[in-house]
Amino acid sequence: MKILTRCIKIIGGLVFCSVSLFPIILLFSGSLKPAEDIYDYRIIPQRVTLSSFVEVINTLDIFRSIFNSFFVAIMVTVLALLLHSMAGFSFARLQFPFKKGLFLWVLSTMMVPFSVIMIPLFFIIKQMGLVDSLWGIILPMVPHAYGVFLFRQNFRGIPQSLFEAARIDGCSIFRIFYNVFLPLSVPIFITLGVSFFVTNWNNYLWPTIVTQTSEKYVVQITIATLNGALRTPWNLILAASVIAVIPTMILFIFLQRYYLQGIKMAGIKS
Amino acid sequence: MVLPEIIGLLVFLFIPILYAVYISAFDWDVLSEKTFVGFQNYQNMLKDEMFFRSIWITLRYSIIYVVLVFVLSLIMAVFVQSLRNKYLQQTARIAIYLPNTISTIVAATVWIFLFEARNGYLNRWLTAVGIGRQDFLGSTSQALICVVVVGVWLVVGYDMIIFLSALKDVPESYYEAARLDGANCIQQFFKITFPLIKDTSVFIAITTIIGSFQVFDQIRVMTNGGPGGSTTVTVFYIYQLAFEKYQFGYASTIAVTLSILIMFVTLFQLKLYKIDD
Repeated sequence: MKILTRCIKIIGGLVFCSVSLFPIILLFSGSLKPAEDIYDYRIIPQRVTLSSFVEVINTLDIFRSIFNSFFVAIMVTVLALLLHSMAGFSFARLQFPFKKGLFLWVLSTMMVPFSVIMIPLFFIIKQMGLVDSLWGIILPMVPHAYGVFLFRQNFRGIPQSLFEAARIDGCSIFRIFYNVFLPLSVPIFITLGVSFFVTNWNNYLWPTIVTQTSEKYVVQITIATLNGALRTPWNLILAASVIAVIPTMILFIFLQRYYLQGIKMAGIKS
Repeated sequence: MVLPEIIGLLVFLFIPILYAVYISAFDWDVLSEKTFVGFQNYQNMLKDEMFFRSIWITLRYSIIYVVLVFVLSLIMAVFVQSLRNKYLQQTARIAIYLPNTISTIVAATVWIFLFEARNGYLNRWLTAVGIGRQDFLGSTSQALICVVVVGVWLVVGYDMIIFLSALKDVPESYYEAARLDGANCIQQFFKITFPLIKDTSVFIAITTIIGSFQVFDQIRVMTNGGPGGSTTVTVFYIYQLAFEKYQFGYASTIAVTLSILIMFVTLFQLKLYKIDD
């Protein structure tokens, strides 16, 4: 009986891990194979070459879309952290009229599915003259009730007495926020920062609605377009995909703890 | 200090909802002026076969996807939890989670490569085993399943982590007591584990269902709604109507209807699981 369960466990584990890893391994190995070998079913490339990467860089202007993606993801992350932390701090520690109602209203916006607002958002961005611009991608992605909620929870964990002590010492609200609350909240900044960056790096639907010219493509659109184009060789598509995947994978490898923490926080909310 | 966020939410979330309802009462394409038509769009929608078909496809996607994600992520979490060796546990967790760091677009790309009808890996294996070639993305009956597979592959690791952290909160002493009473693994799971992680299960069920109603990215890349419209889910239909056919009014009508549907399903679930928040 014991041996049986152990066998099931080993086989199950191998199946789970290989199903989840195989496509990723294939992605990397395919990008290293020369074009003729792309359908060679051996996973380990028989001939390793970086020519696909060279070709992607030379013919596709991939650096521009990588730069666009970085710009969008970093800008959204920075602005979102700033806005959410300020709002979270206000809801946690400040008194102002309609506070409770306003907070409930903020939470209720979490219920809105993106597919409902994408058409009106497009017209709002058009009114602002931001169609086909990176800022048009960035701005609507910043406000997010969920981040406000998590920051509020975090700031409520910091003792009220600290707030009052600083107030008695004559600190302004902004200084308390900046000098007392922020230094105590570095982990949540990293956790949410990583999560915002990855979400926006990987985002596709909204950028494709906003952008029209290939100069403004983020890297996800570039890859989607490659897929649609007939006769694009597979080794090029795979190489471009590897380039697109590397930033989020590096983040995951180095900031794994924060990465997983962010997911657990999502679960605890329930 | 709260003002910038409030303004942001107003401009980019709250006003758009009202605006969507407003647009849905107009006949509006880019060329002509918009004309007020009242509930005409909604009446047209009820006669639109494509709309009902897209809802039906979304439901089918949703059911397969939700069941697979829920069951697989729970099984994987139990499996990872049961590993005694800390190092092994860590490795398995990372291996199962890794797909979630990849974007939907890239994931769809790799899976197109795997599903490729002529020389793809899967077909090579299937012929080797003697099952024979499948059309996969080219087949009206298989394309939807292929799209589901990609969605599941992407998200299972994420939900596995959430389940795992819930499993870790179940006190070991409960299992010891159960073992003393002679309960086997399966009894332990259904009598102890499952009831104790109920909140987490509800959370995952609700978020997965909401997510499944909004699938778009991989469909756009893998099938573009086809073949023969067999993967045109509702969000994809809305996208086509608005940004390819420029019927903004009618597209908004369907968007508003979809969101009401999502809200209804969510509330129904909260009632079903008897959670009063």
